[in-house]
Amino acid sequence: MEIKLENIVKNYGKFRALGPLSLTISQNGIITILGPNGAGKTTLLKVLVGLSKPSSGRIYINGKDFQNNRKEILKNMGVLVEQPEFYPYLTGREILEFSGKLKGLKGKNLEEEIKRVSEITGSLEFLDKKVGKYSRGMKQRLGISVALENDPPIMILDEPTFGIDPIGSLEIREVLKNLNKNREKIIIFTTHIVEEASYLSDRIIILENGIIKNDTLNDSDYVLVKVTGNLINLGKYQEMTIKKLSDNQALIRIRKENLPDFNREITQKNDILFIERSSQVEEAIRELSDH
Amino acid sequence: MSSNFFNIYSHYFRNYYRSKSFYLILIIVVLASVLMSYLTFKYSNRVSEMLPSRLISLSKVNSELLMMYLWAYIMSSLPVFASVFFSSPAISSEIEMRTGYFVFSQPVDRTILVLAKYMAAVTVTIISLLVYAFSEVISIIYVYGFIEYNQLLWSMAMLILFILALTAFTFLLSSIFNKNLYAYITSFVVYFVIFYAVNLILYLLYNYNAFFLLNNAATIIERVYININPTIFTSNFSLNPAGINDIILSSVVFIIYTIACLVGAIIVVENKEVQ
Amino acid sequence: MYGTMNSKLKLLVIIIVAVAIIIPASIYAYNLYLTTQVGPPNFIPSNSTFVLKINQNGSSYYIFGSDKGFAILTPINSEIQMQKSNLTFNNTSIPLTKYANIGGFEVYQITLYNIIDGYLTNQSSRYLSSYPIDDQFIQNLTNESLYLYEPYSNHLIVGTLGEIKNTIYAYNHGTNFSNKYKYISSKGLAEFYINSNNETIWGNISNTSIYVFVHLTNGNISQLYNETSYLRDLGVKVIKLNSSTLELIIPVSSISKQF
Repeated sequence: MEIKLENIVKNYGKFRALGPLSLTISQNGIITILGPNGAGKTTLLKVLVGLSKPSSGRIYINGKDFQNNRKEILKNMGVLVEQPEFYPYLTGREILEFSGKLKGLKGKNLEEEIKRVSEITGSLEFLDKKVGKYSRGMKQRLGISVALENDPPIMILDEPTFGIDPIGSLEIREVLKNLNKNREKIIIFTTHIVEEASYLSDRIIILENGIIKNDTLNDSDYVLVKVTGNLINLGKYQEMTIKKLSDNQALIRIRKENLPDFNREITQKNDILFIERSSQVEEAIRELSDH
Repeated sequence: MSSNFFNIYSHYFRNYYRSKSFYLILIIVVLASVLMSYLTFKYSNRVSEMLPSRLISLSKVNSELLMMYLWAYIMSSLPVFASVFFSSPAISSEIEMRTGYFVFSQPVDRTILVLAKYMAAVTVTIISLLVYAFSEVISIIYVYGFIEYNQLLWSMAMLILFILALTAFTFLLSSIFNKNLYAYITSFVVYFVIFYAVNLILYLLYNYNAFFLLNNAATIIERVYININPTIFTSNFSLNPAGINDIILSSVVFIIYTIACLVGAIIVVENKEVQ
Repeated sequence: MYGTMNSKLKLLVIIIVAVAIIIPASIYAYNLYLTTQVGPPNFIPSNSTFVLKINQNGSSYYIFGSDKGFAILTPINSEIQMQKSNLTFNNTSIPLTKYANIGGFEVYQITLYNIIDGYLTNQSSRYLSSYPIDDQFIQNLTNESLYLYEPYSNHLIVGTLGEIKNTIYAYNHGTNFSNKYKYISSKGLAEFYINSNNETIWGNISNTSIYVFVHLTNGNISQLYNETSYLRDLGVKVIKLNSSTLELIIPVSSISKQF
């Protein structure tokens, strides 16, 4: 599978929101688009799924021009863009039926698929309520269920954990991690939570002012982790680089294979925590870009 | 493609008929039906009291036809309210309510989406007016013992064409805006102010009957009973039903509006940015 | 704006098909509109052999027909009035009998007998009281019937039954004079139109002149132009408008000279 963006530019009047941007994703895995507010993350995803037409440039999915084969390509894409809203007088189940049928599912297959995806996202219990009565978190789970339908090989998710409680967020992260277990999909998601990015991603692309500032493709064996707390207790791992941001904060570049142990070790130590604060993340990203 | 169309149509239709707007329209229609039934029962024998003296000419006024004319006159206004509720926010709500992020990222042509939603809006409008039509038939048969089926069928056929045209027109207006409020206001203003103003100016200044205006064409719904056009200020009128040519003329106007407005809406939606 | 051939092509096809339907439909609608107006030309059959329009005191009277029948379209005014089932003409009341509903119009029958009888009754009190008229004689004299109906408010059409039916058919089916109204639409004392197989003659009469237009369908207008050369000596202007149409302008004074 391959996603290729060639010289994509998106202008809103005189304002350039995106580009020129070229990107090739040919390896399965989770690719995170990281960046501060206004970096162009959502614009990029909207262009990628056809909600927005690029002012110039082309998009190819598995060698096929996206604009010419939009319907066919979207059948094999699971999409969650922005914080989704659904038709308020339909139930969650009806929404899943609607999108499932458009993806070619019907009859028993459709029923089973609805059950499968809602179990994964934990939305089964409120599936038969009208969407108008859903909370933000419930809508988000329903949106992820829609994206998961038909087990698409490509998934585009825009801040999938937005609006979901912390425990729910962790559940969603595990869902994504599980989906990526066998590296059978390309999952592109955006976030401004560095910890989330570093935990899940095989590749991080940092976007700033609509262009790619950094791409860890060149750094595929490593991940980025932000740590706050007692930096003395970080432990030592092979080829771990620590960039100190302050007395109790650091950005750590660590080999992927060491990450699980590192996570386990420092989460057991109460004086070291992962904390995400947007201003600090932006600062961290800037620092990293300069690095 | 047809299964996609039916899938989209049935879900939009469900969303429409479960909505508060549908119940509001039903209430309006029921109120209108009750009032018209009251009028029919109370005034069926006193039709001449309702008419100004100049209308009682050599032709004996058929009381039943006049009563059906009045029913039809009210009925021709009801789709305007229905279309404002169902069709004005049809496309603009996809942007304002952000459901467009969901539906436009599905593997389906935007053209099919527009057409399916259009048909759902037409269906739900027709259903809401069935109450009124049913009340009319019952009242007339009860009071007069029979009903002019020929004219009734023509009137209903013209009503359906009018609904098709009006829904397409409001869909076009809706597709232009990203906010429901602007779409609502524009629909009302265009239909009740601009059309009427153009009609007035053309008739008073140029003695020209603006047959191409939707509100003028809609008068055929009542004119199939008695050929009095309430939008024209002429002293020439006929107490006979409108002829077949009048019916064909209005039908052609409706069809032109339907096609032109639907095509316009499709073009706008195909190029619409979801933001 | 960026777009692909496929989506642009699809939109183009939709637009072309829509325009291909809308433009001819609009033209058709406009022509239909002309035929559906409620006015005199919409009740005069398109294939009338003659149409005469007389303008007097702001009102227009139309007389039209063919060799098979004729009819008069007249406004209802102080001289002619219609109440319920009576026609009042010059203070004489003539009873009407309902004949039938034809094409949605209530058609009434008046017999000339009634007209004459009514007239004579009026007159008899002054002149004929000593000479009673035999009713049977009058009835034998006039077995003809005329028919009338109200085409639209404040107007009547009176004529032979065949022509009455023709007018109703012409209105209901649009086969009426609305497309030919230009022949009799100038404002003068009167306008006329005559149509036969090979030629159409129309014109209007004003205070000073009579304008006559002759259009030959198959003929050579030059021959007619030559044949009418003698008229020029009588003060008539003869003008060749084109290869098939001739215009004659006859000063009223030249007519009075002749007679």
